[in-house]
Amino acid sequence: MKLIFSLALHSLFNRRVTALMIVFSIAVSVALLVGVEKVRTGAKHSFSSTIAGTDLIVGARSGSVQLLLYSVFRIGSATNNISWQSYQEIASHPKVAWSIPISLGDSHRGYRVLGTTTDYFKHYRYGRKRPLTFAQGQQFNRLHDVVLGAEVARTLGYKTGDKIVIAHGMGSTSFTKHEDQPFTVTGVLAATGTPVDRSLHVSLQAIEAIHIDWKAGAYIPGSGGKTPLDERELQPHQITAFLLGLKSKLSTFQLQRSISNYRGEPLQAVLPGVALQELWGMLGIAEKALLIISGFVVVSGLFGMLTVLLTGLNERRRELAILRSVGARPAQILSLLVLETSLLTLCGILLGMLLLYAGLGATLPLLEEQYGLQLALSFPTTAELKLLGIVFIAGTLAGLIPGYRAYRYSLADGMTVRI
Amino acid sequence: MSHPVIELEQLCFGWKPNQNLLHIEAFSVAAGERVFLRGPSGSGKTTLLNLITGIHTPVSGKVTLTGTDITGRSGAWRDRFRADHIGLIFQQFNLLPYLSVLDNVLLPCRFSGVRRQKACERYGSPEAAALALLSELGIDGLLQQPVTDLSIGQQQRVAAARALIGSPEILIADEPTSSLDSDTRSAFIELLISECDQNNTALLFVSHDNQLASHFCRIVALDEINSAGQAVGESQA
Repeated sequence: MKLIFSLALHSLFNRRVTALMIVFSIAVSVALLVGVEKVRTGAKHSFSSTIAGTDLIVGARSGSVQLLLYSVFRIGSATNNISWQSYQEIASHPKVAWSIPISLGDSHRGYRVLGTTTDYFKHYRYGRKRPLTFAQGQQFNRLHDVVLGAEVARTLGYKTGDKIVIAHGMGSTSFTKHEDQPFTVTGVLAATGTPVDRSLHVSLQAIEAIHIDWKAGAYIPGSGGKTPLDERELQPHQITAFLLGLKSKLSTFQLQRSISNYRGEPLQAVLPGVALQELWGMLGIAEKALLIISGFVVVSGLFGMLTVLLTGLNERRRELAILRSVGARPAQILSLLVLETSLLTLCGILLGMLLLYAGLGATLPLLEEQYGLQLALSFPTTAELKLLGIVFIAGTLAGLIPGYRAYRYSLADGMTVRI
Repeated sequence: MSHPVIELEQLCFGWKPNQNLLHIEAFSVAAGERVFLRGPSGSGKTTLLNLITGIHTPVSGKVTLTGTDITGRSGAWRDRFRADHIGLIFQQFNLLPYLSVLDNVLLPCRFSGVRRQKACERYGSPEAAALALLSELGIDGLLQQPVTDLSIGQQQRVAAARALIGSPEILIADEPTSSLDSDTRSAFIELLISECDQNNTALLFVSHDNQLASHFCRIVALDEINSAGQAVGESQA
């Protein structure tokens, strides 16, 4: 076997240009396959850490995924609101440690505006329980202050001190704007890679203030009375949802049940982890499709190797006949060819991993900042090693095809050196 | 008197059941004998060599090599037997281009334990055997050269060294001089014969070229020993 191995090495080295091209094509496909697998698990991990530290998300009764989508991902809208009174009642429950009210409905150039309290900056957690931090400025203090998410500030080019106008409803081309009450940017949050980056944060009072002259969804100037803003008590009447942190995780289910049975209005409370998993289950199809496609890229890489090896085999009949004449058995000829493909595949895998890690190393900071994708340059996971193992076995088995042909040749040709 | 190293008895061969390409009543080569087997191309030379070396099995009859009947043995057994007892030289392109001259010569010792053992018994190690053979053949200065840089004459001498290493009982040379010019041709045959004598190897030299026959003590025409009736085509080639 050592002899066959050394012959395979020498023979491959003799055809090094072709061999190198085969190795490269396998390397690229392996890098793609494992890269997709890494991004897939990374995306799943980042996704599941979109929100952390929150024990319950409470909203009007609908579906848990819908509640998660509008309260955390800022997608879609609520079927109904929650009265301020209900919120106060639940938030003051003895088992509740903290609460963050969320009021949605307005936007700025396609980005959602979120009305909340300063507790948001204190208690909101994402990733591995990381708190929100400020890249510039500070949280809102005055009525018309706004804190921007990182992406909002970056794409729209805002910095602290800029004045912005909030539009009523969603869409970047909303016709109705709260132009009478412009906001001042007081702070910009550091990038989190979560939907927080795509939000604008104002106080609940500000949401009330800009809707004073709005009745039944229409702007009627003067309809809210003529009292100046600073003399009004801007007590919110309704919010969209709220996040709860509990003193003890043990009471999560108990509180969830009592919120579901709340008599004041139909509410529901969901566990973020469970709802995130449910949502990921729906997105899972796309993720699997991606993996399957990259699997096919590997298959095409292996087919490329087969094509090259089979084409070259005819020219190697002389080499095989010489080996036969000095005592190589057809079985050894077969193992020579199989060994060649497994060597090529192995080199392809190693080079592919090298390419992947070099590529990841170069783009890791960018991926994390731009897409919130947290990938680690760690030793391949079991799942990745399993994929590599499958590629190696497939490559080795593929060698049986040229191997069998070489076997047939050497049986038929015998010692006859054909040119 | 030593027993013959090649013995053919009532050998019949054809590709199809009723086809009779080759029918040899009796043919034998004694140990250390040098035989010139003459036959024009298309006379079934290659088929006969494939039968002697055990690549093909005869339809009927018997092939006995060094006293062992090889007909009826398995393919793997015949492969091993061939590697142990037969050295081969072809018309041209005998060498693996990706191995050095020395590694090419050493190949039979790598595939056959018997050949390696014989080389060790006589020279101490396979490498020493290879170097000794190469120097006797006058190409010991070329060890480091890539095989592809050698002239055809030099390549054939390396091939001869490879066929002779480990002193096989039988050496079969199939038109080994046809790509050499007439000067190197005679020199090559003389060298080959003297090396065979030293190793006590029987030489079966196959060629269509009658001019070379003068070097041999025994000349056999294939047409004379082949009693298959019809004109035979070399269907293998």
